[in-house]
Amino acid sequence: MNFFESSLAGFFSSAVAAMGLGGGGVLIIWLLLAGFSAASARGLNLILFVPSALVALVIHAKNGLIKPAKLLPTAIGGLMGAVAGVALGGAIDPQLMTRLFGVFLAAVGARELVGAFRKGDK
Amino acid sequence: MKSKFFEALGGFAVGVINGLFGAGGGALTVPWLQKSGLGTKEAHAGAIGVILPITLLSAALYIRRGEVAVAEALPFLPGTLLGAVAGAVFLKKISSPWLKGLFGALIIFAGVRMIFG
Repeated sequence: MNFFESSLAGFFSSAVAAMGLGGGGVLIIWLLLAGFSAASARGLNLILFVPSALVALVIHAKNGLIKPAKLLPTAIGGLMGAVAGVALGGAIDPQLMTRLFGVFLAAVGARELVGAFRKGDK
Repeated sequence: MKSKFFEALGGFAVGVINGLFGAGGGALTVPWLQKSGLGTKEAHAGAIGVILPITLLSAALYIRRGEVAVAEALPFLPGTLLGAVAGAVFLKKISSPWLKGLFGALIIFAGVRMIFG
């Protein structure tokens, strides 16, 4: 992967992530296609999210979109959950869990999509 | 007090999912934050803030386990920084319904990918 390709991959995945849309999938697919190992791809995706998130958060804060009081409980719970999640690690069959989570995600996505153009959204 | 605990519980679920799958927690964070009372754009922006410490933790683990080196990320960095600016600016400009619709479509796609491997 040359510098131009890396820059492009970084640009698009970061732009999607900065909009709070995820973006992780974009970069991971790109890296896997470029021949990176699965572990490298996931690791790079995690590492690159940090500068992306920091830059995005500064701009979002300037635009008045960050509400710390509302975010703190969820963020703290999230950190504790992450530790628990890593610890749970190999306890459940990963393939089954991934499939079940996929169903759940699809349901969440459908709900978002259906509700997108309804009135009353802030 | 009770509602803050409830919000933390949702955050906990998000963290567990992120810890288990390495990703996906963000997808649930946005709807959860909206349930807590944030508007669409605030939820999307806020989800980044919620996911950041979780991601820092996961990234540190990956680096410590030697699965990836920070140096490998450097070629991606300039593009990443520019993309973050572009995305953040675009978030302010895009309309909420379109943001919600785009998000929904992306999540369905991610979900389908996970179901069919």
